Amino acid sequence: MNPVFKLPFGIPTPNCDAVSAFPYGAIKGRYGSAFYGWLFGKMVNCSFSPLSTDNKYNISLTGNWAEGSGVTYRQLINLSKDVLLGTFHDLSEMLQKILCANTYIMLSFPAHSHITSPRSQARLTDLLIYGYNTIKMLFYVVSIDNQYHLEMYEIEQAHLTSVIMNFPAQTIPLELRTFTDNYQIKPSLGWMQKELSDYLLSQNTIPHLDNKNIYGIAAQEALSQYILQATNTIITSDLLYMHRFVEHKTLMAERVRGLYEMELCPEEMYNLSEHISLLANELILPSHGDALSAAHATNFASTVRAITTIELSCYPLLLDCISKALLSRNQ
Amino acid sequence: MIADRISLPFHSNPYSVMYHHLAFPLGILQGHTEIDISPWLCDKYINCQFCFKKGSTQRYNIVTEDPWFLRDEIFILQKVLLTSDLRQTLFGSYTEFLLKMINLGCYPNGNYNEALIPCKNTYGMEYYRHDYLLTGYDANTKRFQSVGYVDDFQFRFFDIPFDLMEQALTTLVERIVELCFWKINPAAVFSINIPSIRNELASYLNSSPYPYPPKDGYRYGITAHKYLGKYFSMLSPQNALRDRRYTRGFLEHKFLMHFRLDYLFQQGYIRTYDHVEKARYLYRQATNIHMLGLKFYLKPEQRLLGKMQILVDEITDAEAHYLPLVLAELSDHGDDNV
Repeated sequence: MNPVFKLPFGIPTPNCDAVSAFPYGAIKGRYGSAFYGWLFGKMVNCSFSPLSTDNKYNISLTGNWAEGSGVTYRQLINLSKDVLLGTFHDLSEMLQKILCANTYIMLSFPAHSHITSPRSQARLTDLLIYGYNTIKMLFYVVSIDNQYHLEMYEIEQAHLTSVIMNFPAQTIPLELRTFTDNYQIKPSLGWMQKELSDYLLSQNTIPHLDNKNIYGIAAQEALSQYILQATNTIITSDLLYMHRFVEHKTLMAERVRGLYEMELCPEEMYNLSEHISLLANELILPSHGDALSAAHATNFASTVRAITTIELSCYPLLLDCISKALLSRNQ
Repeated sequence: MIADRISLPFHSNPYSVMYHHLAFPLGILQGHTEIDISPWLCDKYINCQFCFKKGSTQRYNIVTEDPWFLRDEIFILQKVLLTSDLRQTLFGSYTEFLLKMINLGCYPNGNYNEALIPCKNTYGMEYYRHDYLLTGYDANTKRFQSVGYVDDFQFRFFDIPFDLMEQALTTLVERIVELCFWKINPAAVFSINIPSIRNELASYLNSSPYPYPPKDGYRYGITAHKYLGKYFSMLSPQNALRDRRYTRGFLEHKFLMHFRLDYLFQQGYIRTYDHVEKARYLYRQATNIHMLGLKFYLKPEQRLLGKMQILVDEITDAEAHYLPLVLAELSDHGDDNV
């Protein structure tokens, strides 16, 4: 084994939610600018689930690790602490072997966990390990805490081992992600066309998704109404939904930049999507644990309204650009 | 350092052997004789289902989405899902890994290519994916101890040579192989749950799958048993042997109903001993149905099938009459959950 080993990981644009941030970072790190081929087809549509208690608003409707299209595949090691210690005298050695098999290691911490992020001291929610350095005896990790902050840093082997072995359950579910060798990501313009069309029409045409949910523009309006009704309550996952809304706009701007760089849409479209992203990122969101004030909720609702107006007037034109691009590719 | 020989506890005659997924957890629990599962068992295996779908290989079954009782925290599940390369890197060969886990008191379970296992009735086929459970090994004879249905349609212990078990796993077509390892949760609580017994009995009597949603092509509870009776009347000699599972399963259902009511009476939750006697009588009748099924397999006479259906109907009619009385007595116990 090499003494220093790092799997590719790019700084993710979505940075509050492991579901989007971890695959984004890994795919961007691995594929560079070709990752647009992945981004075009991911996190375009969104959903609102009135009946859900912990996942009301979601921008990741299909697996972001692109397992269905063969980009990655999932493996799992979910063993008890005594089995892990009985099997591996040194947990670090196990982690290093997994990483050397071109496999990222992830661990999600349950809501009742008291383990704090080694960097922020807030409660740790998600951890990804992407490299090690046996000379300095450390690992390279990405963590997200319950304040929805993502950080990339180095952590001492002993500290990481302690974090893992203190996982608050009888077994430790290490999720593993491996990239398929030599897989080439192809630009998924057709998928973006489909998803963007669904988004604008507030529908979903992906067969396996729940048709009791609300989709697209209507989903973000439903989110806005939900936030208005949640005023003065202590919010937990509600804050996550608001962060996801912001990320949805940031990702769209990045997506459109990719189209612009490929000369598939005009600069005006790029500027508009950047403007939308700016509006969303200027939202002042409450801190974790704070009550959602009427001002926060009203501000959020008015921002959603403003953004929706722009999207409905401009993104049909973006759809046209994509359709033209697809037509010319087919000719 | 692994032991020369390990045999993890597993009861040779679990309360239900209709399917592996019912027999495996029960066999482990019953094998641990230091645990009294009687109170906890009372609200289990009450409701049942019958499937109409063409080609179904599990027409009759107990209604459960949690056969290993993970929600009750009875078992701890450990699992690996790995490519052969990563598994080899981390844990060595399948044999080495399985031996290690058995040494740590875990029961390995998953799917393998059963066509390579000599005592199985699929032995010699090109490929047959089926589930297994290992309960021990002998390093001197280089054999795993396993349990399950074998070629004489009996549920029993049998041995698998290390090299055949290795091949049975390495020849699986899936690229990523799942290995499960079960252990009884040391903190498991096997307490009685009277409200759950009431709910399950009510669902059974109302022919409802509650708390689960109904599925297309299924009937539940007492109605499922009525359809099972009808199914028995249409058995053919070709499927009679395979369908011994269903007469066996029906028998087990009545055995467990008697077991349950006897326990509830002993503990004072029901006062009327007649209910226990009735359950015992119906269990004996269910045994007769099972025997008639065996007789039919040996000598296919249509009259035997008619008798089987009549007996099933008698049993279910009797249950429709006396189980509501049991339910009424249990209602006196409010929200007992001790």
